[in-house]
Amino acid sequence: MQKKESHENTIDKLKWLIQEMALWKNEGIISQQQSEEILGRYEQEIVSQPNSSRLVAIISILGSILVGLGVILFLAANWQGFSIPLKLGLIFGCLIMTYTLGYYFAYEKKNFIKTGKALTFLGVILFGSGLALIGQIFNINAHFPDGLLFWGIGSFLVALTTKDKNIIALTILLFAAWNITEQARFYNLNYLFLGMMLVSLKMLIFPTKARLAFLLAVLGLIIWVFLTLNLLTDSFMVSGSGLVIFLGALYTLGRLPILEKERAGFSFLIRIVSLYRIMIILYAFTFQNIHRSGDWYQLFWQQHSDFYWFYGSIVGVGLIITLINVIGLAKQKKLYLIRESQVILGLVILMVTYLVTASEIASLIPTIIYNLGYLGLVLGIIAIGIREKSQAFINSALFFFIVDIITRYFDYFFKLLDRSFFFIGGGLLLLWGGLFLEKKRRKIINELG
Amino acid sequence: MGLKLSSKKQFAIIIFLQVLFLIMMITTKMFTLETGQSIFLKTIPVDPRSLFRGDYVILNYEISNIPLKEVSTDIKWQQLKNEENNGPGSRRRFYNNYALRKELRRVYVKLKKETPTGAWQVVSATLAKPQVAAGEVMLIGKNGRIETFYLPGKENRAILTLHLDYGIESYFIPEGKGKIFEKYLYSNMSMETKVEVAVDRFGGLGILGVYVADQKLEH
Repeated sequence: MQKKESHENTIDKLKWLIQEMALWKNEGIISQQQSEEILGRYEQEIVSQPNSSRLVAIISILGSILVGLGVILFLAANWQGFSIPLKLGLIFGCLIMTYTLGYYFAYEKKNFIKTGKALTFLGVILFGSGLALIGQIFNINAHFPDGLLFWGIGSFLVALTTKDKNIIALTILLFAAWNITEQARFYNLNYLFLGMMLVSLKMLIFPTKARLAFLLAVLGLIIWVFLTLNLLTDSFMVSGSGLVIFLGALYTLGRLPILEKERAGFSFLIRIVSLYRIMIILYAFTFQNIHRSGDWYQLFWQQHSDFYWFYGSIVGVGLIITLINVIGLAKQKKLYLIRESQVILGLVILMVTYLVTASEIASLIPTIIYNLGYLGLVLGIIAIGIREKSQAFINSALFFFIVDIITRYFDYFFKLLDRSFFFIGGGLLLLWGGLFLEKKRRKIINELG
Repeated sequence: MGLKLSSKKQFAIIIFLQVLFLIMMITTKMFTLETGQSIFLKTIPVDPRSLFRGDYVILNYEISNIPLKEVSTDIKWQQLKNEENNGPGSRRRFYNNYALRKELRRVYVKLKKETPTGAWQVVSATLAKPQVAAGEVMLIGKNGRIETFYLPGKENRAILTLHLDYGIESYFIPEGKGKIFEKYLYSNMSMETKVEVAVDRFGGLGILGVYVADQKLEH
């Protein structure tokens, strides 16, 4: 609801701006060129009409993906019937023609903008299939993440000139896929990815305010940090703790005034994504068994001495960013920001303490602390949801709460109760809990208005 | 962007770059296939049922796993044995030995033709570029990793091998033909599978053809 209203607001404002500018032009305050430049700034808002035309855009994009897949399958299936020059001719012909038509419709004539953009998107997909098909024709069996990287670079260049949000999202997706295959499949540390994400954020995502691409970039970066820490330490506990510190930094970054004021959507995305990830890791830490594996700890501190520096620098950067932002938040003198900064700081201190002391203490203490911490954060997220009138925060908090209740029920009562009582009890608990939570949820959301 | 180009020109340049990249892929491979010396490599007989994945053949060459003990090399593998290849978690520890992995990213492999079989065998695997004598060829293997093999019946004696990628490990076949090839290879399981490979003077490789029992597989 809120989003739609804000969109209508923007359209109203733009209408006003266009009327005013016509006056300014007549009065000679601004020139024709200046008026075009000013309108150009708001092109995205003018173009992105809600609902019906968005549907056209989505259908066009889906269509272009289908056509791209069809071309690959057609060429791959019928290739013995074609000579190599014919195959190459088809690959290059389709590629150049699609790009040319796309450019002509969307950016030259501007009469079929959506179709033209979809064709340009198809061009990027055809470039990727060109890479794959040429590899197939000549039996090139290169290190396959490289294929994703080159495809991503091709896509990046097109995104840079067209500033098309779908192509930007595709670019980020390709880079993320490249990084995941490189790190998870080939165990390669990949520092280049970090640089490429920063460049993409600066040159593509921030200027265009592309939300999907931003979400993908944040997820890609979180996965990068986790896989990198995991490669360095070979331990979920150590990499998980490091990741929570990094996520704390990310959450506080979402509170930066520049994001909150100018790019409210980005602030929301970055904060909810990092909270989700924090909850997932804390959830893993609520199990007692996970704290018993002292081996990881020994292994980490004794045998990975050359990686202290890598690990330390990644987590250290997270720590420094968190501290700077926490101080910044506390200085704003808004009670909720101060509380939030205290919670994040507490979380970070908890994780650092855990990293240093975990091997020395019994597994029960961290289990209790993390269970309390988990529930505390659920309440915290509800508080944020109420403050910001956001259903997304409230629903996700309740989701994490239900997951916890069900898990603990299985954890502690499965052995204690008779099997039939276990299931009856569980069923009743779920029925009652479901009703209770739904009532609470409705109440809170009603109160939000 | 520092350059002030019209977006039309920019767009044209980007299409040109993409096309150029694809053409470069083709020409480097064509160069290898046209100018390279043709050699025959034995593929290690693997179970033909797992030979096919999708519509390409996985080729597992004898030269892909080099027993370090049997060839001349400047890789200090003897030191690895205790540090990297013993005990639980050793595989991951090896992957974490970043310095070693960086070293093994590019390995020069020298082959020599064996008489009377005509198959090409590994003479040396080195980090430094070797001198190539007449009757020898030099290949470039990438992403080297040290792996441990245990001989059946001799579990206490491990062999350290250097596993390398040459970029010729897959051979594409027409869709739907995979089953036919599989059947053919399965019925000729005892037959030797050889691959004709072109090696250019820079160590680049390209597949010229796959032979089962001296008969070339045709599409």
